[in-house]
Amino acid sequence: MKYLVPHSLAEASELLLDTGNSMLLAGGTDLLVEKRAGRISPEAVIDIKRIDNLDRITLQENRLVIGALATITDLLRYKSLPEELEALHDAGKEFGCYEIRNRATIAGNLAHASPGAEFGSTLIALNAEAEIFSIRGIRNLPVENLYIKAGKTVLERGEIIAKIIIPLRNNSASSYFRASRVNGMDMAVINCALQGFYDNNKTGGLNYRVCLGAAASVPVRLPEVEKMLSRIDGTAARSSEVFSGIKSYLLKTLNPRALSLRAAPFTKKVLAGNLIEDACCKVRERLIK
Amino acid sequence: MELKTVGKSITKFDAFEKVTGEAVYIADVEFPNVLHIKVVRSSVAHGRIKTVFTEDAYKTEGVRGIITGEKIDFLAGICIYDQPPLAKDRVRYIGEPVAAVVADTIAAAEKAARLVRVDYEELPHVEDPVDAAGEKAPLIHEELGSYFHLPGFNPEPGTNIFHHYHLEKGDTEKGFKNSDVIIERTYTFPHIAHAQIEPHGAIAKWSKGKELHIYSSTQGPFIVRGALSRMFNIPNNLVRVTVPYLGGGFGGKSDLTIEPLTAYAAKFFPGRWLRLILTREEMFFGSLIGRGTHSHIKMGFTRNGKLVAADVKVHLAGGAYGDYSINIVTGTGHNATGPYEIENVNIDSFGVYTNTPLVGACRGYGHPEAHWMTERTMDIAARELKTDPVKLRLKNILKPGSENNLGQIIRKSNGDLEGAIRRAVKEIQLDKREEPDNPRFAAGKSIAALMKSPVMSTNAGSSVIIRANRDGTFHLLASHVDMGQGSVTALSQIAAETLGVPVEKIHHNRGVDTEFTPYEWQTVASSTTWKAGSAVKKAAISVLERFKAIASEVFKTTPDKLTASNERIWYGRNSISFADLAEGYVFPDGHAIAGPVIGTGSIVPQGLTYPDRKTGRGELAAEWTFGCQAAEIELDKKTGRIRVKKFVTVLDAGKIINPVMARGQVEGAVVQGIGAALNETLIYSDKGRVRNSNLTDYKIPTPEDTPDEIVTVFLETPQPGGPFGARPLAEHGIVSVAPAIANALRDATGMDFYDLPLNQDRILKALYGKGEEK
Repeated sequence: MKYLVPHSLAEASELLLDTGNSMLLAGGTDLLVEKRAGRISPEAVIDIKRIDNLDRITLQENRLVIGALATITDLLRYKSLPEELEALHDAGKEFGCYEIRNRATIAGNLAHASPGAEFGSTLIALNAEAEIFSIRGIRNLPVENLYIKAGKTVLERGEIIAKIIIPLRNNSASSYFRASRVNGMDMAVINCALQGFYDNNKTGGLNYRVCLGAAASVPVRLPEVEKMLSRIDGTAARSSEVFSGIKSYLLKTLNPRALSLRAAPFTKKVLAGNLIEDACCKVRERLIK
Repeated sequence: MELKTVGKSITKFDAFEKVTGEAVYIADVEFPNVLHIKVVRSSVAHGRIKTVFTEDAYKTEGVRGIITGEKIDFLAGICIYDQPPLAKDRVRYIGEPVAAVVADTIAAAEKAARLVRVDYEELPHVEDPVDAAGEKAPLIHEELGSYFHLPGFNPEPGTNIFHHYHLEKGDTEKGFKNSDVIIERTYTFPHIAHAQIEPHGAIAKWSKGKELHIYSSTQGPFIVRGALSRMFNIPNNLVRVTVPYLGGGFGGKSDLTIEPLTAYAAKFFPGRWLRLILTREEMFFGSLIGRGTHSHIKMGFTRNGKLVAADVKVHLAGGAYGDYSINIVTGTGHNATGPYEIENVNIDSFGVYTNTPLVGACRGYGHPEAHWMTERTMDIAARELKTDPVKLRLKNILKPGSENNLGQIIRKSNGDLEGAIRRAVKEIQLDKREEPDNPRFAAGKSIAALMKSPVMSTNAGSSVIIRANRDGTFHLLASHVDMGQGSVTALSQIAAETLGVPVEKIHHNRGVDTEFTPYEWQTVASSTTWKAGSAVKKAAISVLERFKAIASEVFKTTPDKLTASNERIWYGRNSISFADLAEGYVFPDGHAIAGPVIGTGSIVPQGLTYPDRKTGRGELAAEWTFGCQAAEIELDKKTGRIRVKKFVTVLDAGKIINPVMARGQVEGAVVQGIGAALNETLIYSDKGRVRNSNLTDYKIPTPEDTPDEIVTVFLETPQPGGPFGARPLAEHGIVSVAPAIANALRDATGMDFYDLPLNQDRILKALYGKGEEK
């Protein structure tokens, strides 16, 4: 196996194109696990950690930009995180353990395309885009359109997630909840990210974006649930009616895979409804405080 | 007499080297020209080996040899000889060693191992112990009838039952006829993993064709020595077993594990060290796993709550080879009805071959399995009888004068079970109810009593040596393995107390070497402080006697006129220091008498017997430790997760030699027990493969999963014959964790659970399932 160290995105992209079976190495927290398990055996590992300025997190006028090498710890320590993006902080705190957070990158978490990835559902709920670099050109893609199936994204050979761009939205709040088997380091049994937002004039009711992780082979948005949530008007009776409607809808419609080691399909379906309820209440609390 | 060292929380002697990383574990041991082993393992749960193709693997650079089992002419074992170190022509579980690839580097060995191809003729396989004991089950060992076994075991050839332990007392038919309330339930305890921090390792070398030296991560160096000596037909004193620091055992490194395979492979490369270190994944199927019982219990009570009859059937899924769990079958059997006196008892405990990894000792050794059913059933019975579960227990517990299942009469000195139950009730504040403010949570509390005996060979001996040095210090040499439990420190405290010297003057060997340290059966059964500790006391007394004998020559008197104190031997007002007596006393003119002083102590458990062939009764338990545990839990009904808010353990372990270490043992056991109660289970595929052979999906508790509060209380009824009154203590903290939690869950929710673990799948299905997802 070759170990290659490019110093620019262009060089990295070229190496990807030139080397048949090659993989990018950033934090390595997925790559090394997969390699050790014998599930991958790349001819070359392309270590992008020496590329300058890729680890920045910057707050621009209408957006937060996260560089490809920014780690979970970088995110958790980032002092100017806008309040409405608190779901990112929620997700970071649940992610792995301290040691893993110091290595793992947010972009890597997306690129690995694990169905239960903390930042898959979170970035979809936040309507984020990935800026994808290749020597053939740069394209922007909503994170929602990134996934094909577990472990597989639409990225083509030579393409690298260079940045993640999260739009800021006035009058919005977000949250991330997950269910796990133990409190310490664990994978999500199922996770839920949720954004609540008013339209620009704050005239209508609250709207939602909801995304579940580990409920299917890719993170899934739930437009039907979003619609149902928007019927919440702040009264307790209405809320409980909406949530029980959502729970029965999920029991009927979700179809998690039967052989998950983490939970039975029924467990995931029940948890999905309960997490959405918790995440929605948290968002309303954050928005209305 | 006031104790100076025993009973004090002295810091562990080996804490420094473990914290600093100085301690050398098996994987740190290095030799020149070492060869590495990678094991090729069976990919089918049950089958005949047709062909092993090694040609491609041989072509790998660095490969020195590929060893298969076809020429093996012996079977490994201790209690029953039923396993070849490499599969011979048959594989019986996924993970069974089929070939050992030997290479210059581990990378080459791994690469070549992937190129070994094995063709199997697959046979039907069975994982469930009740199915496996049935008539229709595929026979896993046709040769069971020809296997050698020690007395006290009862294989049933022609079936998969490698040991049937039967116990009977009184007349159960009459007992149930006289019962007003009969409770009958079935319980399961799944296979679990020990998850020791340190993976198993062995490094072996043969010399001159008849001398074997093996380094091993074993809890039983002398067991390994004896077994290898027999297997390879070489004398005991030409097998040397060295144990460096051990990184956690929990029973999973007792008896034999990977030593026969490593030693067999090394025989093909005389003069060279062969090294096998298991990977984390192999720890789940390449060494030993634990538990795996299916139990049916029927208990009969009179209207006023007297437990008058019990009938129990336990099936233990022992895995493909039975040697490792054969004693657990007996232990689960005679403990199956918990710490209660019952007039009429019938117990059948079956060790059953299954096409799964091998079950061995696992912290608790049959007792958690037994108490899972008994202590749940006692709570259920209390409800049926409309009585208080504490009162029901107190009415039926073993107390002084009671006769237990084995026919032993319980003495006051066995400990205060009633006191333990009352204390646990008090500590958990069982009568005080606090309902959570938030209706998503449900809170509950309950208790579960316990008893445990050390299950051991009738001749499980211990011996120690104490050497006196000329500066007044001492060497304590013993062969128990300190795998974290602190026995090196505890035994040093016993030596120091007996000799009357500060504990700093005792140095205890770290690690064990059968070439230099004296015989110890093995470090299991929570027995070291009590059993080896008794030998230490004897050895220290023999040192003092020797000192007195020498001093009596100096003082021209008889030894009985002398006393020992303040590190000196006294004759009236005159005295001689231990230091001056240690290596030959020298008179003022230079002439010397006596020689270097060595003290020895040896013991064997007193009066143990084999079980009676018909009734299963007899002296199977050398001692008893009684106690009670209590849990306060909170269930989050939205996540299906249980949080243990408070966990109480009260044990009567006799004199506590080192309180902090004793508490550490209990707390560790409690947390491990919580892991098994809430989450841990091996998950098998329909082909019989362990699917979660990693710590990503075999979830053990983390520090964030420990209870908010762990309370440990020791009652100290002295144990006659135990060193300073100590009795066995260690595993006891795990015994009733699961029933205490499940009883509290019932208290919180009204839901009864009979299968472990109490994970989200089980709880959410019970809360929301309503039969729709069966």
